[in-house]
Amino acid sequence: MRKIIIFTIFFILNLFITNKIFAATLTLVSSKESLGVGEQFYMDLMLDPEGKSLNAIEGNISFSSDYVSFVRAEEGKSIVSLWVEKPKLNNINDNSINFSGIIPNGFSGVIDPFNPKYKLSVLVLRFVFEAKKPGIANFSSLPFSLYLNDGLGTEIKALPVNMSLNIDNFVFHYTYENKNESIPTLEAHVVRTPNIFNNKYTIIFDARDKEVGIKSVFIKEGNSEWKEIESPYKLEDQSRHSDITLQAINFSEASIIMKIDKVPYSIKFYIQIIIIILIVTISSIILIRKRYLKDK
Amino acid sequence: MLRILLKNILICFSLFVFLIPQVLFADGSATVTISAMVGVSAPVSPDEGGGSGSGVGGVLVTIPDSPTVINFSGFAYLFSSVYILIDGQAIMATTPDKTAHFSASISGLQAGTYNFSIYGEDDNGKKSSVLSFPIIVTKSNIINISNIFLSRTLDLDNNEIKTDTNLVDILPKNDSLKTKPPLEGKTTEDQALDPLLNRDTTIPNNGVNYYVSRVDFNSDNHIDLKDFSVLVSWYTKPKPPRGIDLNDDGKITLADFSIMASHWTD
Repeated sequence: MRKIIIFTIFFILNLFITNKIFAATLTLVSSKESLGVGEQFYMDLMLDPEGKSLNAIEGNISFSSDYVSFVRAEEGKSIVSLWVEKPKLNNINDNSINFSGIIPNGFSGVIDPFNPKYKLSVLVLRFVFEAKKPGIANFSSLPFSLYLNDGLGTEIKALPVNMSLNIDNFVFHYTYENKNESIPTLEAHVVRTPNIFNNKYTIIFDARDKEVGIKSVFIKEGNSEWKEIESPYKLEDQSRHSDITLQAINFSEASIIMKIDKVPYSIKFYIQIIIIILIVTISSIILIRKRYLKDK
Repeated sequence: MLRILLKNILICFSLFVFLIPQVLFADGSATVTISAMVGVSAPVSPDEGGGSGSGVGGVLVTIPDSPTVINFSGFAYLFSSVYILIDGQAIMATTPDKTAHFSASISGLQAGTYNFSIYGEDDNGKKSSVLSFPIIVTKSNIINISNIFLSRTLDLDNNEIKTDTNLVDILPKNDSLKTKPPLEGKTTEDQALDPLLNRDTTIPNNGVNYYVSRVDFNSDNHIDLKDFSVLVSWYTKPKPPRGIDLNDDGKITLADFSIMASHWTD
């Protein structure tokens, strides 16, 4: 009898804790069920918040690097609009992709205007892979961290995802391309605040592409070489007397260029130069006049 | 000797002429311009195509798509402005009419999933809660989002209030509701439309209120990309400044970003 009571208490507690922790569902959806060697395909990571209002997500996806290679992660149609950590291969393991980002003001499922009673799952990320050799490719994750849009940063967990795909023993070279044409948008500001890089001039930017996502952002300061950067970026020329050019490129190779004018020299600087020039000129005149009179 | 003198004067004059316009037109502020869009593959018009012609005559009639429109409507406080955001970026502002009703339309969006947010801000800069509407937008459809209610945010002198308290009674004396009450001189019909008296007004708990003021790092009354960048620059780094660490756990984690995201105003 005692054992039954203890078991019941544990069961109820477990049920309560489990419900509290795993309160949203993530799934992997593949574009293909079977593949040939050399074929590119994508995996969509979908999120169903199950009625909870969520505003941040952090996770990772691992894959069998012997059988598939990671091509890119497209975040264009993602519900996540600002990435804290853009999806990229882990520096240590080349078979794991980490990411984290926020959804300003949160969301609790997508409203379908044709069926507003039911809320739909939404895309978090589209991972593009390429099959390398025949066999079974496994995809998995750790539990995802999700945060409630409650203004307090409350973390909840979502169960990990798993999926396997069979790569058949035939060669089929296919390159997956998102054919939707779009041009990126770019917002950028040069700021100087004690909270970022110890009050150094910093460029902050938000590059977006609603279709395929942003591939990279480059900067050119004055006559320097183009350099790939992430926001926020501490400017190399802290004098701000160089023109800044930013270029955001999407995965379709369309790009947008933004120019930020340099800050002109201050009036004080110009007055100093003028005074120096005047002094030099007057000194020259006096010197020349003296020599002229002496010669005479 | 005279030639050297003239040469010196000429150099000085040239420098002077070069410098004067830069001094005169220097405004001390940086301007941002979007100057070019490159790299987009050029569309090929039918008569440039390399395909072989079929020789069959005919006219291709293109029926233009009807525009995709998203309509927002609802109620907001009389003296407020209503802001609409798409994926965290402000794209439109409107004001309610004298019956506290507002409406706004957005068109020209591509098909896709958008996270629309909407909030009100009164004439003292106090903001309402932000409402979110993640919607699938399909081509050539009109989507109506109606009955939105943006409650007014109130400053209260009291830390605790009883559930049956009339909010208007405990407002500070200088609150605009008391100094220029919207109902003064209005008919009963107008009063019936006043959103403050006829709808629930949410009072956020103290914890949430506490964070609102802290998240706006640069005190520009907006929680936007600039504040976000401050957190990103300290993400996973040791010993962040106390003012940046929103949940005071000694490090910048996604929990801090979550607190910021829930107060986002662009």
